[in-house]
Amino acid sequence: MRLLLAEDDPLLGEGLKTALGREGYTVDWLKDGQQALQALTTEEYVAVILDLGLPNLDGHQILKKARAREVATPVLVLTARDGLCDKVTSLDMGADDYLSKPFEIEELFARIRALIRRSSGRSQPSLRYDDLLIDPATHQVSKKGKPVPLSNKEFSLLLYMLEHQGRPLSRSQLESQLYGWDQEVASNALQVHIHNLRKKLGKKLIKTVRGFGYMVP
Amino acid sequence: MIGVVVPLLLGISGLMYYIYEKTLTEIEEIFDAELVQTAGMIADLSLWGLDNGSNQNTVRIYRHTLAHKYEKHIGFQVWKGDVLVLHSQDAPATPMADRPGYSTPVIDGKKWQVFGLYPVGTPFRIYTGEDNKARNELAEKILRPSLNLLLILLPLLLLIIYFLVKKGLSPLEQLSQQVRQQKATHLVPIRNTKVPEEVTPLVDALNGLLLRLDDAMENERRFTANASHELRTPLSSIRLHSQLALNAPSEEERQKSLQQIVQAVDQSTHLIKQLLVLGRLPAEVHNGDQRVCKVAELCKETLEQLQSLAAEKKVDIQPRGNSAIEVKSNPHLLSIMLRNLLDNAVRYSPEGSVVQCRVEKSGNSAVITVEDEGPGIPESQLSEVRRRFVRLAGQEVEGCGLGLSIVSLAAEQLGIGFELANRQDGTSGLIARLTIPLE
Repeated sequence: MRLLLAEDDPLLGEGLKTALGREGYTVDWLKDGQQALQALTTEEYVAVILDLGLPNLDGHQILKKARAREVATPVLVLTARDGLCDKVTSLDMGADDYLSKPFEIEELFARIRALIRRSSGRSQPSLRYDDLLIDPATHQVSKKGKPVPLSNKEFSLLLYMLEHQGRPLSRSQLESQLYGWDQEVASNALQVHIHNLRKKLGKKLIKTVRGFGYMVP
Repeated sequence: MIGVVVPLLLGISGLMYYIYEKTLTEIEEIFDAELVQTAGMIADLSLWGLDNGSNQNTVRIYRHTLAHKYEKHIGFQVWKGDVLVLHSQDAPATPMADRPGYSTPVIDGKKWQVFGLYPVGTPFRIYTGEDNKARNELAEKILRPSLNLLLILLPLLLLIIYFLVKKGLSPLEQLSQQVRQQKATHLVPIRNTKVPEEVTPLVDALNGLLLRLDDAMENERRFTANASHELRTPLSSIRLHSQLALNAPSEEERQKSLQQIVQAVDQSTHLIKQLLVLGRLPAEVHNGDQRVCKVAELCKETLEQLQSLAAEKKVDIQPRGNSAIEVKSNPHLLSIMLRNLLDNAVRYSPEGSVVQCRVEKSGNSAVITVEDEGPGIPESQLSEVRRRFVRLAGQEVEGCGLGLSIVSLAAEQLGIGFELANRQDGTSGLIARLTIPLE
């Protein structure tokens, strides 16, 4: 589950990256508007957290340009300005949600979960697949009613694959969802996570697509 | 309105009194002349007859039947020695006066105006007189119509004045209505095409003031909005890092979050300090003392305050130049400006570089130059950075974007020139120059 964080304040950006990382998200953090737009149009993200007051290209411009290029990624606007006009403009320019600073981190998490859920067309907060029940809010997974402990990465990988159920996902696509730009990735890291998920939840859950990647049928 | 009516009423009353008095005097003069003439006529026509008459003690009374109502108010007497030889019908039996010429005796309780004529070489004394009642009545009859006219005209006049003044003041009333309707949050120029010509400069001046006020208010609004906006970000950081520290999975991470909190608090403290400096600037310029101060000493004091930051960044600050130069200015503001410029220079300088602070005399000015070896500012953004809360993109250096706007505002208010330029000598870096006029 890879997020784009566009925030120019070093302290706040650092904190958000850490907090979201602990929630199991992979975070690409950019401080420059132009770079954020570039990343948004070329990379795949499950959601974007966008500060409005970015240097070089402000949040509204990024929204406008990204939506004009048909980028459908859900966007949560984060801003210190709390005027009605700002909120309305943001939403009308293509933002999906809005949060004013200072905010409660739990609320930010919940809003991101909701954005991801809606963008994959679900109305139920929890996911059900076969005999699996996954709760994105609590990170709990149960098989036949019995809880299965998963690491953050495993949970994130499982959730992402379930959200894209029925579609073959390439290895690089999955890796980019698990690891940010600044993280060193061992070449077999993805394989290890897939292996662990199969061991904990059953072999049939994840199918290998030869020479390409994996999919949840 | 009262200012017009009261003097007018006083004036008219005064005028009426003056007319009354003047008319009365004129009437009296005519009557007095008449008394003289009558006395003369009696003397001319009658005395010879009386003198030549056989019976010297005969009293003749001048009688006639066509009496007039005023007749008892006028009368004459002709005395020969102690004998009243001729008198008018209602004349008193005693002499009307006791001397020739004018006198004002009281006869039967009434005041009379009497003229006595003692023709030379005769035993006769002739008195002609009138009681004042006749005179006053006459004067009144002459004056009454004009006074009555005035009394009728006066209220009419007042009414006309009232309406004229009201009509004349109605554009002013509209004007004050418009001024009353102004809202502090939204000041608009007064549109009034109907004001009298004399008031147009006032309306223009008022509109000028409204525009300036609106501009100042708008500036303050923007400033407050920006200030709250700028404070929200460090507040968010403090909150976020506190939560992270509370839920930290390891002691190491907790320490890291706590350090970030300290940084965020420092950042907000700095921001609040700068905001206060900015907010107090106009008052400081207005009330602050202007005195002669040595520029080089101010620079030295400021440099000392920045020593620890410079040492931390391993930046060498080199003060240079003429230490004797004195300027008359506000030393407190000057040192605030210097501190901001030097602070910026040190913050943006690479490690191990040099910041120069020079004081020179150039023409009729003292010039302070602060020069660093930092990245400089793109030419296109040199003027933009003077605005409040403007920070350039891609900066790792902490700051709130107020330093240069403080310097800019203070310079403007103190009449000091402030220029920013990039170094042109091959090295990158910013040159900030303050030009203080010497007296």
